[in-house]
Amino acid sequence: MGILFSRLFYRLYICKRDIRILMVGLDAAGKTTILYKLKLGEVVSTLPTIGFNVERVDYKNISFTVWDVGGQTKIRSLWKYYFQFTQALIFVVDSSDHERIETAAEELHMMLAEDEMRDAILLVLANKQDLPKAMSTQELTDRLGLHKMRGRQWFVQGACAVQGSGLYEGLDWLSDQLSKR
Amino acid sequence: MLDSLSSASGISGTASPKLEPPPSPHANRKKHRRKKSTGITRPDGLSAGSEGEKMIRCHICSCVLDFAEQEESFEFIIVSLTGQMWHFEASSFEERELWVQAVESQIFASLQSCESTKNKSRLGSQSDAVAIQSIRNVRGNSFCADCDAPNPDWASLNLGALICIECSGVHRKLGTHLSRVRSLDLDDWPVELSMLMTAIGNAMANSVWEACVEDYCKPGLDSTRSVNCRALNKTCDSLFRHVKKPCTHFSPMTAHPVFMISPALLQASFFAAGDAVLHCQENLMLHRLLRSSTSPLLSLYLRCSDKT
Repeated sequence: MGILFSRLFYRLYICKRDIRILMVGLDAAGKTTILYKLKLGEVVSTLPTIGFNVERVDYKNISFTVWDVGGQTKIRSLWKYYFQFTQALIFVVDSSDHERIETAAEELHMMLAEDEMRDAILLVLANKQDLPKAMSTQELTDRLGLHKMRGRQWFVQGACAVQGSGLYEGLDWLSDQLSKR
Repeated sequence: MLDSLSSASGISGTASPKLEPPPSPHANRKKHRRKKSTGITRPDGLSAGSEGEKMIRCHICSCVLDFAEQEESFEFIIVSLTGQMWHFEASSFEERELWVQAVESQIFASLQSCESTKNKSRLGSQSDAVAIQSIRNVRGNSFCADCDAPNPDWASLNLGALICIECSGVHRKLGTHLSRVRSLDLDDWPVELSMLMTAIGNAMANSVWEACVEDYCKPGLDSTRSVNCRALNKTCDSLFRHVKKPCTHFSPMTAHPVFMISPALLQASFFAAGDAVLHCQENLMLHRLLRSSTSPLLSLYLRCSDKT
């Protein structure tokens, strides 16, 4: 009984679960800003990511290893090399970029069609909610065609990386879903 | 594929019965299946292997060719993967054979053209390179529009200017409603965008945005790394500088032929200016200045924004 209890205690309070997260999205969606806001708690001045950034973010007894990969058109084809062992996908969208939302939807669905991503859960971060004419999470859900998806857990969270709002709510959802597994 | 199918029909429709279409890769399979035919045609020609049904399936062309042999008539059905079906009847077995072969050869040709699109994309990247070089050659584009760093690789689509990667970070921070940043090397350049970029360029863009800015000190290369200061300077300077002191004597419509290109391009390039104006409305002095301004640039924007 004591052993059982100590195991439970260990599992709950000491053992940290490692989760591999891939964070992608079109260029200038705010991926790097989100990553460092989560890691450092501050807004850093970012440059376009050519390649990737990776940081470990500890939150709620879960250790998220977040891979942030550059989103320019020609380097989107490199995303696939990060798919293996990815448990959760964070797809970052610039909510104020009405022009490219269709492109974002295409990229998202293409990625989710990959075999290696079949078990990954999807968190869409509707970033830049503070900007004028930002699309609502409802509108983004429609325009990204999320309702059409079958057999995948997904969630759209409105966020503003520079204010830090919505980011931890997103991680909450991820940790809830992943702890059920 | 529908196009190629209809063209196939056209070709074989006018062809004489003596015409021999090129051999099809599916020919053997087709003949083999035909022997098993009993003449039943299923309306959903997509389920392969059903009795009495013959099917040639081509996934790449998204086309299903389905034909059934009945005792007296020589029918064949073309089924597209979208579910559309076309029923045809030939007068003889030989004629139907010709039709089928012609359609098959068309599918084969489409398959080959699918392969050759890869080569086309290679050609596309070559023309991309030419377009990008022509953007770089535009007057003023060999230096960053904001900090004069040499050989800038990033572009602000709506401002029509080239900037360095450091400045691109600042532009991105402003938001896509003010500056839409793309990479010359890492993004695609559709013709209309490269046309816009070649039509404007740094010299012209700055002749507008910096036209009437007095006591304005451009951030230089040496101001790098004092990141915050630089970012702040650049944020204000590169996009809001023209708002601070709107030009009252400048007439873009007459001064630059580029502004004649098209209203859409024009609107695209001034979109940022307009939003910058709206953003700064809390600044009362600025607001008053703008409202009292008779700048053609501003009135142009107001006209454009009225339409949207």
